This record gives sequence, structure tokens and C-alpha cells, in this order.
Amino acid sequence: MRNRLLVAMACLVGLLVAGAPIALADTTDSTVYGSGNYGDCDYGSCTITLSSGGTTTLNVAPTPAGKCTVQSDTASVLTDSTAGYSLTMTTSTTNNAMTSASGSISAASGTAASPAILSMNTWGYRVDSLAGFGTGPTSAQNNGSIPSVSFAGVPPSNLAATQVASSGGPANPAATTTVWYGLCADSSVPAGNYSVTVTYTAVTN
Amino acid sequence: MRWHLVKNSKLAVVSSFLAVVGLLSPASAMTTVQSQVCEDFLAPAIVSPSDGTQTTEASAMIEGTGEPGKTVAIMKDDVSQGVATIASDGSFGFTVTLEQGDNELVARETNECGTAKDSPAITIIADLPVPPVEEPTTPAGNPPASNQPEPQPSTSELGRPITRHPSSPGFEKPVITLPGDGAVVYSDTFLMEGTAYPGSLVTVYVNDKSQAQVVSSSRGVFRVRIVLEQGQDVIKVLSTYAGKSAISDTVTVTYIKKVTAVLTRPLSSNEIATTAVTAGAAVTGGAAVAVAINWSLHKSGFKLKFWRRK
Repeated sequence: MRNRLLVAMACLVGLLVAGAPIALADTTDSTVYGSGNYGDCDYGSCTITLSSGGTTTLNVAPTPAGKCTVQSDTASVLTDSTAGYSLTMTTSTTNNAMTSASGSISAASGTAASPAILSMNTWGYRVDSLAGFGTGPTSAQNNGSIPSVSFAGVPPSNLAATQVASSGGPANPAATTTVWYGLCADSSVPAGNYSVTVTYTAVTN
Repeated sequence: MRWHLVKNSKLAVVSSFLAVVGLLSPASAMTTVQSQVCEDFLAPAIVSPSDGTQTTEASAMIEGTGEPGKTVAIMKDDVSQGVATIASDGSFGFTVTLEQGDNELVARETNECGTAKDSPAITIIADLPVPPVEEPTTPAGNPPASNQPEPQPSTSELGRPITRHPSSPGFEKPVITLPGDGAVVYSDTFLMEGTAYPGSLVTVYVNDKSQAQVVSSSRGVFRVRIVLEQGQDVIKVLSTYAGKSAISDTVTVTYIKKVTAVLTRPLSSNEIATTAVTAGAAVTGGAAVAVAINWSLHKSGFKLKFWRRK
């Protein structure tokens, strides 16, 4: 019985993917198994929207001892889902280093659970008060000393995304999360324009 | 909304499953994290005049050193008094107008990342003579003054108060006094001089590219170090003051790059060999030899010796 049910579900999912119309049975004559109020948006049509700043610039003019720049990005999530949402991120490719024609800057080695002070010639992110990051507050800086707050590496796209925000209820008006990015470089880093693309993903719970 | 999950209904279970699929449709957004990493550079230094210099002149030539190719500005009270590009030999220089009393100046170098480094400040103490009151006169031979009054500068184009020298002429086109038209130079940098309306903003163009800006002194003099390209360079300056502007006549100079020539070996009475050129210059006639010698002296400045083959 259970196997037949799974087969039926698989077939229907296949039809859905293929664009075939699906007719659902009228279940009002069946025994009610459970019921309740789900939330403010229709079941199956709860929408979630996500936006971010688009570009975060971490220019740095290194010295032999090194300089660090810290700037922030803002991710905004809007949903009526009463179950809330989860916001995660990875880099857009399997390489999480910032690259240029002349070289690369590695991602920080820390994780959200165990972030670390930025090492020289690395870049990373942090979210104040999330997981092991501590409360901060983080401050923006240009060509400053090594920040006292800890950072983690953004995982590459082939690894599990790291969660940067979540909620157990609707986010309307939009909930914003400030994601701080930091980069430290010394004179050993070749001059050039380095970049990496970070992909945020928001899903309803 | 109201939801129902019914017992023993396969389709109802499927519909619930599809609803969950719908809820899990993710939203995504991308952010590019970018960084322009610039090379470290040395802070500039003002080498002349020295700190504490006293002068009765209303302007001073500021010379210094910095990172070749970077932009340098002379700052007074955090206001730029002029900007220039540092020459390939690391030198810069231009004239700034002085005010009565202490003039604290700083050279500020900026790189392409917008990072600025300041030199140690110097103070020039100006003890300016009080200009005599000038009676309005019309010089003989000059046309009578038009109804359009000449602008009377009280502040320069960079907002600094200036004292106009009594002998300064009215607003007229700037003149490049050095280098002279047709000059030949052997260095890629040159301290050019000229005259322009006192307090006017002088922009120097070399081969139609703006290279430096400086404010002319109260005597209407400006000096600025320019960088030349190999070959012919066409120089002109634009003077701007109070909405008026005028451009100078062009001056063409020829920059010949010095080439070190070393006589390596005697060949014959009519052959010359150098290591600075790709091949020895074989000449056959007396006139041709003379041309070759001139060329070599221009290129090297070395004395040439000749050996006659035994």
C-alpha cells in the first residue's frame, strides 16, 4: 500500500513537472483527518521575495603589515507565511575565493558556528548576533586594522548553504538582515580587481 | 485559510504534498562582493622650501617627491591649491600663492583607490609688502577702457583671497614663457613658466591632455612641472577667472630621450660601433661621419674616440 502511494506521488510530480494539468478529487465526503487555519496566505501560493544590495565594495590599499576593509550588504525578505522563512547563502560557484586576473583572495576558514578573526589575505562574512558570531556591533572601515570581531567563510555552491537569518512567523513588512563582509590584504596580494558573487536564497518554512 | 487533510484519500495526500512544493519555491538574490586592491605607495614629501621658510614673495614654488604617476595636490587648510601628476622621476612642483602670515602646506598624494597620504606639513611665513595705492591711469597708446569692467580679483579660482599686484595687467590670454617654442629638451620633465591673470586658475595641457592645474600668483606668474612624451609635445595653457577664460598660444617642444652610447671596439677609420643601438653605424664618406658623430653626441653626451686600423 505504502509503495503504491509513493509511486502515485512520483507519477503526479512527474506530470506536474511536465506541465500536465492535474485534477484534484473532491475530498469533502471523506473522513476529516485534521484541520486548522494555516495563515494569511493561501496554502500553496505563499510567496516570498528577496532583495539585496547588489554590490558590496571592499577596496583596500595594502601595506606590508596589511590593511582591512569592512562593509555591509542588506538582504530583505518579505513573506506572509506564518511558518516563517529561512535565508541562506553560498557563493555562486564552487570556488569561494575572490578572484582577479592577477590572483585570488581565499575565503576565511571559520564557520558560522565557529567564526574566527580574519587572517591576512582572506575575506569573510559575519552577521551580528547570529550563531557564534557574537553581538558585535560591527562597524564599517576602510583600510583599517584587523577587525576585532570574527568572520566566517561563505561556503562554495557545492557545499551546504549557511543560514544567515530565519523567522517563525510572517515577515511583512520585510525583515532585513545586515551581512557584513570583510577583507584583509597585505602587500603580497597583487594589485587588481577581485570579485566573487554571493547568492542568497530565501524559502518559506 | 482552512485546510483539510483527509484519511484514506491518496489524492488528498498528493494535493498536500504539492502544496508543500509550492511553499518551498525559493527566492534568490545575488550580491557581488568586489575589491580593488591597490599597491601600497609612499607618502609624498615636500623637499623645497624647508619648514619655517620666511619670504616676502606672494608665491612660492613647492617641489617635492612622490610615487610616479600618482596625483599630488598641495593642501592649505584642507583646500587644494593645485594638482599635478608626479613625473616618472618621482618629482613634482608647482607654484602656490601665499597669504600674509603663516601658510601651512601639505602635499597630498592619492591613488586610484582613493587612498590619500599626506606629507609632513611645512610652514612658509609670508611677510608681504603692502601694495601702494594706485592712481587709475590709462597707459599711452592703449585704447580707452571699454564699458565692460575688468574683473577685479579678490579671491582666486580656488577660493583663496589674493592680493593683486599693482602692476598686474587686465585679464588677457596667458603666455608660456618657458620653454620657448621649438625648444629641444633631453628630460621627460620640465619646469614650465608663464604668466596669466593674477589669481586665475591655470590648466596646463600637453598634447591636448590636461596635466596640471595651478593658481597664478598675485604677480601673474605661474610655474609647474610637466611631463613630456618622447618626440614633439604641444603645450598650451588655459587661464580662467570669474567666468572669463583665455587660452595661450601653443608652444611646441621636442623631447629627445637620452640614450647611453658606449664605444665598444675600434672598427676602422670610417666605422662607429655602439652598444646603445642595435648595430654599428657604418659610414663611408666624411659628411656621413659628421652626421653620425652629431647623432651620437646628442644621444649620449659621451666623447667618441676613433682608432685607425693598422
